[in-house]
Amino acid sequence: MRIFRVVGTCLLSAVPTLILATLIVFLLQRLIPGDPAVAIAGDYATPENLARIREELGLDQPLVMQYLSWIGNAFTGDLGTSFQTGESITALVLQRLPVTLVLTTMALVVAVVIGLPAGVWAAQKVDTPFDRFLTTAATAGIAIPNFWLGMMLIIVFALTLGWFPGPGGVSLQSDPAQALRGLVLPALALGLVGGAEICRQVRSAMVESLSTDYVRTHRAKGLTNRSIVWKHALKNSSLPLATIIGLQVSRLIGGAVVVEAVFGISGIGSLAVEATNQRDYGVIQAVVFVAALIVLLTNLIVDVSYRLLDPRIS
Amino acid sequence: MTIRSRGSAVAAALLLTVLAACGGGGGAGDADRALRVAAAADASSLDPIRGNAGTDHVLLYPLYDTLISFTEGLEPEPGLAESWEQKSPTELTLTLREGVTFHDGEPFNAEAVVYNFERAKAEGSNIQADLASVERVTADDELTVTYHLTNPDASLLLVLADRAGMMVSPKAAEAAGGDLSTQPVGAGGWEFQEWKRGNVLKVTKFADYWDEDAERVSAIDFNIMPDPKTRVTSLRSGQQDVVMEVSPSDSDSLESASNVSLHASPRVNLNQVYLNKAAPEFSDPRVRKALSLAIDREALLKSGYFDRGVVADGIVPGGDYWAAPPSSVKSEYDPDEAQTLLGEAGASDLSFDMIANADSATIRVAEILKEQWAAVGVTVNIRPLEIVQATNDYFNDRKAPALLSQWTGRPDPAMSYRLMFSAEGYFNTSDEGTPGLEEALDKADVSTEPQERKPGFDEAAEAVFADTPWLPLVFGDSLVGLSDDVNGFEGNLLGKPKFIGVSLG
Repeated sequence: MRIFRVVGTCLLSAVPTLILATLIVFLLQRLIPGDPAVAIAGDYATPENLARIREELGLDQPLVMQYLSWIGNAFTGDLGTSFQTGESITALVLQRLPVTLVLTTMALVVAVVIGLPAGVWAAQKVDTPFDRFLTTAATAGIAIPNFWLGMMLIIVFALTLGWFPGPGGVSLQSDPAQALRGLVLPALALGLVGGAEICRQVRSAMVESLSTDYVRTHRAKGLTNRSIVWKHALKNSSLPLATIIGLQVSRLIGGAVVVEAVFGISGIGSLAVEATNQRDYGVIQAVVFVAALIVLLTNLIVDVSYRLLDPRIS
Repeated sequence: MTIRSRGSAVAAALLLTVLAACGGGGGAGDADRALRVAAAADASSLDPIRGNAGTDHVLLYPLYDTLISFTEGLEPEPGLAESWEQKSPTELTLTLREGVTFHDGEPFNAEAVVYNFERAKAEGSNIQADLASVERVTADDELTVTYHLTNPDASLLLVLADRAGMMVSPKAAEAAGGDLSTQPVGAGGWEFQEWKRGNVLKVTKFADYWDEDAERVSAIDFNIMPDPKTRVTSLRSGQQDVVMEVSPSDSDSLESASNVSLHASPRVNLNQVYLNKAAPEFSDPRVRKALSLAIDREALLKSGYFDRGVVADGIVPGGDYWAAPPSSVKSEYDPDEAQTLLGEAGASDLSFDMIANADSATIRVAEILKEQWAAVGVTVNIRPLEIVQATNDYFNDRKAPALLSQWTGRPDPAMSYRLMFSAEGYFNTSDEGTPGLEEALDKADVSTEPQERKPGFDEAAEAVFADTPWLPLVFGDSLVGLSDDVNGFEGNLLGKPKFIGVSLG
């Protein structure tokens, strides 16, 4: 019962955050210079065409009315229609979302699978050359921009070795196996940086745990090192770990914008870029709405996990 | 712990290997597979009258055949109309091809042409201006139509090779409520299969295409990839067969790579500086001429465009093009003369703002121009702006007197001259015409025969050259990357290839 109350409270507190996020984006995108009618008219701009488009877009309504009608529809699942194409934005987002979700999930797996053992390992060998090497590598990993890493991975593993397909592989819907294979390099490009971050945080949390009295007691009692590290110390370091993994999700979604461009993936990140270039306000808003939803949902999971991991948190 | 972590490392390595090994064949060498084309931009609409981007045509041509077609050098040739006759300067009669059907099985005939004309002139059409000179179209018999014009307009023929000539099935258009944006039905070599916006457009070979002998691949997948580097690496890693819009900076690497090649051909796409000649900085024609004389276009071509193109003298390319400017129109580099002219015009310390699209290639060119103009004492303040804002600030709000950008070109030279330099032309921010231009273009409207129109266009080129209402720089080559599986690819001067004639194998 307690867990349902926790989820309920978190969900309720998420609603104002979500509304605030959409309001900020709504106002921010109106500040982007450039008339949507110019973007829509393109090469066929004539004064008549521009006037007709402006009228069609209905941008003459007061901003407050525009926002209220949008947010009202958004909560019923209707994200409006695209300025540029007249298509349903909900359909557009649903079509582009799966590949981004798969990509960020794979990247999160990469980040955890690499970051967690590396951090634990470094903490056990603290202040040895191995630890210093791992810490330096992790710092470098955080500093490397993921688009550069992506290009390097393409050059080595797609162009030179030919192990993985290059950018622009097949789509998730038509050939899932081939598409997953095509997502390995982008997931690495996106996840390695996160892995470096996780490695650093896990290392410092574990160094602290391993120097506590109870660990010394466990050692005195003759517990194996494996049991001490993985069963006891890691569990006590799991709160910062949950926090950092939660933070990684929002970073991965942000990073997907760049990585999708480098790998020619038509996900929600590239949709955001196209929509911004075309001043397709409704689409930008929808993408932010969905991204904010994902981040809020992740925060909810992190919050709940805190309570599961540490019963002292009420 | 070490055993377990080794175990996971082995498992991870195995997974990677399996993923790397599975489904290795991308289908290369299979002649019956789809031709994979990486396009730089998605179609703005799949309805020819509703789209707005010049990049749409490459995706539209496979779906829609046009009434008139064009040769590689942009001369009109038969399309769905097998012949044409100019009965009077204001009457153009087309004889339509027999036995043509639309993808929905409906016959293509004179009635369909009339329907398409009325649709293009109606509310919601983006191409009303293209057909401004046409008053009405009449169906003379089942396979003959006549375009009745309000004034002589020889450019109509090539207008009918553009969007206005792309024939849609009247029945399908009616059924779709007049909007074929997402369910196109034409009479082209391929029919619509699937469109995922911003991702892929798939078309398949149309079994009842009128030209049975035309070489056509079984299907075409247009993969939308906006990033130029991504397109090129996708080609090199075997994911694409054709890559559109290779950037000049990537062209050398593509030429030296194995299993791929670079197809470079001239096109009408012009890199240029738009000038507002009504602005105080440029109101004196001597100042505009001086700016032109101060540009070393050969150096610009080499360092700004990686030598992929030709130096521009006018709004249309020179060389073998039928409407090429005469030899009297020649952009010269003469900084001394430039300085003299600036002195005479009292503008020796000229300073002006120039908007430039904020991409690295354009900014590189802007910096070179800045340096060349500085050598004659002219100061230019470059204002890099994102493309929509740049377009808005220059053409609508007129916040700066100059814009470094491109002119994408039009099938008929008269369209370019009018849109760019006539007083009413949208792209002419001065709202002032060019002396002598209208008279020259009228002469080019006397006939639909290219050689008879040429003297008019020569005069138009001279009028524009004398007035210097803008600064032409370089015609950039159309650069297309091809895998070695692709045969028979041909470019055209419009820079918008059609895929008839292309095969795989």
